[in-house]
Amino acid sequence: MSASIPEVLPAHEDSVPVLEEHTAPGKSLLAGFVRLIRTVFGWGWRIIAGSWLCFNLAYLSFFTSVAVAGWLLRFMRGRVLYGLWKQSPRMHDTSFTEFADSLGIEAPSLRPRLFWQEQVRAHLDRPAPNGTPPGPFRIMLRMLKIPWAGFWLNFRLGLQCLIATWSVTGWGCLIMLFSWEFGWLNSFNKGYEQAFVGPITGWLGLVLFLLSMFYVPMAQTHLAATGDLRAFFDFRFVWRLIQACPWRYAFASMFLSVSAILMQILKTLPVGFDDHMPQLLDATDQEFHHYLKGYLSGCAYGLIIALILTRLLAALVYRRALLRVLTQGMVPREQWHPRLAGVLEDLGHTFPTAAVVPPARVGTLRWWTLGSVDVAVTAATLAIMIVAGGGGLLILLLWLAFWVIQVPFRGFWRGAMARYMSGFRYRMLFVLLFWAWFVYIGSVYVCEFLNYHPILGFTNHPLIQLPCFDYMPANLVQTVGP
Amino acid sequence: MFKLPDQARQEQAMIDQTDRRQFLQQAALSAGAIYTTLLAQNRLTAEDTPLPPYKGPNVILIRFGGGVRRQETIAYPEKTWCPFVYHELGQKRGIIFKDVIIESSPGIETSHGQGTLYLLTGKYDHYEDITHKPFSDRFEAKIPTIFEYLRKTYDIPEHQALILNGEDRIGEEFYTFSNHHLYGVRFRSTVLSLYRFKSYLLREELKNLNRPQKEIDELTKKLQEMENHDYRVRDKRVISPELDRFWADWQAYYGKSGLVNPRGDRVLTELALRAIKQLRPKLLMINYQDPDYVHWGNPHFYTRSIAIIDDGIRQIYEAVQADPEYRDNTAFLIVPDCGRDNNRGMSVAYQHHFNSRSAHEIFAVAAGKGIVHAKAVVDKRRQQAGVAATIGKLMKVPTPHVDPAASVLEEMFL
Repeated sequence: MSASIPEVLPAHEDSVPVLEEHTAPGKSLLAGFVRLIRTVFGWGWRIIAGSWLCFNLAYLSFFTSVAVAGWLLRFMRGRVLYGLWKQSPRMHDTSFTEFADSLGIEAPSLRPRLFWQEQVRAHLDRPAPNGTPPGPFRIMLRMLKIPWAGFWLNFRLGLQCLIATWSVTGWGCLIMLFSWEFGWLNSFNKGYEQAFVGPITGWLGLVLFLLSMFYVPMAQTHLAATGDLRAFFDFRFVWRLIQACPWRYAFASMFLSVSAILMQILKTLPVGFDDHMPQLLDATDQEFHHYLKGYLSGCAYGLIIALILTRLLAALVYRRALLRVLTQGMVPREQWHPRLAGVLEDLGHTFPTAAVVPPARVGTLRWWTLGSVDVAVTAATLAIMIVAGGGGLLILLLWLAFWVIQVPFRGFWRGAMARYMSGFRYRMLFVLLFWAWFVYIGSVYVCEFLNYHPILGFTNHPLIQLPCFDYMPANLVQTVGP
Repeated sequence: MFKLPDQARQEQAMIDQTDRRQFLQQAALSAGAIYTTLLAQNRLTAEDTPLPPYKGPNVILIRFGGGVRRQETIAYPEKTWCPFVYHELGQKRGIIFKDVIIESSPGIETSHGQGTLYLLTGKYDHYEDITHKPFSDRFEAKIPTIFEYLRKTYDIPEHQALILNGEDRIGEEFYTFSNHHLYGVRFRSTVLSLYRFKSYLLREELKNLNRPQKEIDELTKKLQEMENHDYRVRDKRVISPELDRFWADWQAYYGKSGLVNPRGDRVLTELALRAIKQLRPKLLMINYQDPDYVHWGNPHFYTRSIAIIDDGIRQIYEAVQADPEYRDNTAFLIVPDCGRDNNRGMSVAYQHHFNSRSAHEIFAVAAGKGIVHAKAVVDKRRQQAGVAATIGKLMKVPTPHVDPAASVLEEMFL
């Protein structure tokens, strides 16, 4: 048997995850309408408030947007657990709300609150630390916490997420910033002694950031699903998740990259506002500040919607990858995160134990090497095409032939073609991730050239790190106020 | 002369129709006619009236280049980054025009190449890059430059009509003459720059024939590439004994690595100081450029560069005052090539000059021979293109092709 196909022990029929869609019992039209209204208002409020947290008053936004990062984690956790519940044996006898309630007062929610305490009654009724029922004074104190408990929870989780994310992506960002700030000691027509410092550090930062982004989106979702900071650094598990759904992960990354590019464009557009638009030529500072604030607030709406969509997609990919990893026994039971294992157990999921753990194909040295060669060859092909003009098309054809020519040779052995294609998708994953994030970083450089944002421009990418859209220029804030 | 290929083709066609004798007769006649025409042209050139020597004031035109705004230069005395230009030259020894503009019309752009040509020609025009390459800025003036007017009027050798260029904008090496049929290359100015120094070095290296042929071929190719940048010039080598001496002296002092001499705009100051001492220019234009580095978004690139230019102007001014021939006989005119944006929506409001209103708003400072002293700041609106006519008036040179709407900066004259 092939090494890539795990040998598994037979599982009990009842314990295999239910994959069919569950159809809820019919509900009345009125109930459906009420639910629709609640959904619209619930999400409408969250989008409005979330965008306000992403951009409100100058400098304050950097604080409030941390809570948005945490709220997104809780949103992802809710979506992941909802998916796990939906495919679990318990779906037939327990509603998702009942299941969530069983997880305590910080239970996941499909529509987590930005400010308000979740599970208010449970929060008020929970016993005091000594186990006795809460007294009136304790209940009153707890009531005081209700309006901002959700915000505080979001803030704490957001801080965790940002620390984890920046600890991986931050190095590249800082090196890019250094390169941009100190790397221009040169002339265009000759090289000074230290001319190489700027370009080299620029490329180094770019590559570091780019490679970190191979990992970060899935790691963020894993952190969200477990609610544990350490889970972000569970490299082996996260690479396995990526390996389980390479195409879906590549698609989610490309979607994230494209959304991030759109945000870069929105961030840059003020380059054409003042001193260019006729209606702003004679605007006072106050009027211009008002106009720009309106624009940035509008962008913040775009940001929160993009964040929700990209995190939703990430959660869906994660859920599928997780089930696949566990079903195929790609990760031994002892390496599961305890919280995840607990939830899966509560939901009644049982997974077969793999006799042989399939080999890692993503995140390995071989994967990095092959992927790097692929990218280098592709880049060289494109460069030669550009230099050689029309004749370069031949290079492209040769490059394509290199891939195609292997197909008949690989087909001579039984199962060889499948193996070739199986390995091929992991190589393609590398290539797709590389170019998705390369194009994004390219857009960052172009946008910063057009409209530089000192420090923030390179060190914070709102769709990946701190979801803050406070690009109000400091000079304007000093003149007009926040 | 340029019709020769056509004539040859016509003659070739005639061979098919006529016999050999007829062909030889006609060829001899044609050759004779061409020879006579060439002779007549040469005689005309030779018979030109000798030009009078120039005895007026020397003029140093300083392009406060790379695009600078009024805000960092002349708008706020306490915040200026060019204290010498503002306080010393402008306030104490000369005059400040605080409302000079680049006309805002369709096709008129606010960039460095264009701004330089508006200064040189005295007319706003739409320029298109002749190379069609990005950031090339290879423009060609359609009407004469102030250098051409000057050299057509007076007997001034090439090396005394100088433009100093930095090392970053090669396209500006070729603004030395226009395509105007009455002026052009015969009255061109001379450029001093590190680019020219490099071509001097190559010529010098090629004098040493004891090197391998392959090396000689490479050097020749490199030199041809540098010299052939200007396709309009038949005699591509801008060389003269004075220039050769100038570069030889430069090489003796700074070597040829290019790393010892001052960098950025400081090299222009150094070139200007040496040129004044060794070449004695009558009209000198210095194209400073480094504030433009702020395109990358680092504010101090801009403000620091303004301060460096200011210090350069101070050094040149002091050198002029220390030179008996130049002291009291030199006028300074300081004008930016363009302004910069004033975009309150950007963290670095002046990062670019995208033809915005502020990019059209500049200033001028004048001081020296024939210019009023310590006169109040002139608020009246003036045009950047008026600078060429103003220099013309200072040097008593007719400038018939400048835009009459861009009038002379009259307030500066004594």
